[in-house]
Amino acid sequence: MYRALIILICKTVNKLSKLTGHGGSTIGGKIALKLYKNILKKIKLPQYVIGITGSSGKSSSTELMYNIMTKNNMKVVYNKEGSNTITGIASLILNNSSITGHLKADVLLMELDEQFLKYIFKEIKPTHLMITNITRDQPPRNSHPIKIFKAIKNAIPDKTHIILNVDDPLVNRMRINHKGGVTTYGIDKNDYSFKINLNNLDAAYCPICNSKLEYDFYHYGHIGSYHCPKYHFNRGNPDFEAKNIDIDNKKITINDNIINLPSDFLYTAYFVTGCYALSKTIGIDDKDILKVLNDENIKTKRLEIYNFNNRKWQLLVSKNENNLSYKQSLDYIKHQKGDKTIVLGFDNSSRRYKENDISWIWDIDFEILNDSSIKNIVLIGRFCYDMLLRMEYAKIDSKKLILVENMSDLSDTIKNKTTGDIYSMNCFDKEIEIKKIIKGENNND
Amino acid sequence: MINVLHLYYDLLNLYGENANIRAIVYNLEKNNIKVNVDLKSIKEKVDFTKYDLVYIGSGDEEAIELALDDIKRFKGDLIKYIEEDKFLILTGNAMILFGSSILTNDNTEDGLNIFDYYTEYITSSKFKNASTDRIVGEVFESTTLIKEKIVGFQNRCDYVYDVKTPLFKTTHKFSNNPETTSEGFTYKNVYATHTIGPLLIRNPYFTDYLLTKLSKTKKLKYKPINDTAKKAYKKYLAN
Repeated sequence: MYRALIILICKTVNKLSKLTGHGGSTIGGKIALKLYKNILKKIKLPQYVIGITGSSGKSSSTELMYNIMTKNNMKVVYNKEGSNTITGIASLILNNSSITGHLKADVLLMELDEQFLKYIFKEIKPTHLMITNITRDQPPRNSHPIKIFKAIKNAIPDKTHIILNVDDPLVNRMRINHKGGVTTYGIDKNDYSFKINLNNLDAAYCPICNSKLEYDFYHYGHIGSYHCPKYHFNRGNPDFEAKNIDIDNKKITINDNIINLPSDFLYTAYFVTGCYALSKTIGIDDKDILKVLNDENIKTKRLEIYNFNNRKWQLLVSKNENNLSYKQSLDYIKHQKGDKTIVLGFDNSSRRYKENDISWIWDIDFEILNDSSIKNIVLIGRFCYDMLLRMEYAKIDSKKLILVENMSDLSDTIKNKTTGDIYSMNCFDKEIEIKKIIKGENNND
Repeated sequence: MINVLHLYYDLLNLYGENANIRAIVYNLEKNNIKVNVDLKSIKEKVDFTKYDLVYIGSGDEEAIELALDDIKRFKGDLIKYIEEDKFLILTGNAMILFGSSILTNDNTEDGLNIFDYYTEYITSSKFKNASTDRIVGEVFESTTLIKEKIVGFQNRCDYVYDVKTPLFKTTHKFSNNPETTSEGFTYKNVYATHTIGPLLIRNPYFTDYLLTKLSKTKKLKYKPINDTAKKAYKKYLAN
């Protein structure tokens, strides 16, 4: 009885919260957990309870899994709004449960924050957990990769089947002493595979014997193909491996099937391969996976492209404090055709907390921007001098570097002093200002 | 020619700390001083008599343990190196290696025991009301070595006790432990701070102080350059 009441309260609170214009995706769950701590244990969950976590790529992976499963006639409940904490998950489950305590779906699919797994898995046991990667990411919140590794490792229940990106030695380490099933995936060497030029690799040593891992190749950062010289630990041959990787033409092959990628970012090859592995693990046939992956209408994260003074201006999300994600966006820009101007800079390192640790800009390989197609780099924001200094250390031709301290000068500077397509990668507050500048320019025409 | 060793370059390198070596090379080269940087790590042979400056950065708790096991083979060499007034720069938790002991979450481990201070990890059992096991945030510090402030960031899991000769005095936030305002450690030409990341990039005046002194020991002339680093430093303080 009490269970039914709590479910009703959660649903009502969330509805009211939405009606009054609030997001409403966590408040109901928060109240429900306050009133009945173990409520989630009292819910009958579906056959598949799937979690997806990692430092990056979890939203894209979850969204694609949702598409694969729903297009194959499975009823899926998932945290589309991205509330990936315990209260968000509680809301999600209770909102979709009958008052008799049954979650009405074939699959519960959850994008999960690494730091919240320990609270969530205490209440609900996932049947499957996919781990995308573990990298330097928001250090003021996550400390360092080993801390993220431990947060995930200590939370995984014994029986959970784990789906691992084994190109990442920190993810691969999850399988040591894991009692449940293990499925592995990875991607083969490709045009984007480079060893980073900075001495900042993580997980350089074997977790069993502490010998230095030897790499056959690096994709980016510490992610690649490695082995312990004493054979204690290696990437090996993944169960599902993307081959013939052609990022620029958006094609990969898995199990001899040609797959079209949703965009020409390297990370799309990862989340598509991960979702392929996860789908196969829960028994979906190749042809049923392929019909969704190769459906033209399935596009993830559309890029924002505007016209500015008859030049293309593309806005990219700046992954501040995640050096490897940031680097992939730089790689993407560099690989685009034609001349380019790049706008970089930020006012705050994070939107989640106020501490400004700017160490991370020294972990990004800006050296790759030494390229003849990159004509100008414009630096803006509160930390524009730090960014300028970083570019100078990267030995980028000083004639290409333009500092804009006053945002009202940005439009004219770009028009008069730069050439080529424009790519900007800035923090959220600067992005709003940039959109205004683009809009203002277009209204003047 | 100045010879620099980046010790445990592939293990103790969190938070952009490779930039400290880059700052040293950049500023010396602008002064037409030749610099050689060697990278060494676990189990590798090191001849400390070759070097004028040794740098060690910060690492995660597993990495620092691995480094601690390894560095003990150099104890005699390191004492000799330090006593000869050579430069040792330590950022983040690298300084805990040189103390007498480290109380981790599980047990007590012997440090190199070259200096008297000791370290305790911040655990919930020892600090019952601590909401977290880490200290994270921006820091501002002063020093008697230069008139300019030191700026930086800390992200650490330990307190250091019994430091008699601190390097800095904190004016904002985190010191060696909650009972003091002293931060870091100094002795002869050992400069140790718990500040993480690109310390020598973000504090160009402190870098000038160190490199002027270092160059003098080699009878080389170092003239501070007025560059973007100083503008970045001033802009940060102005905000």
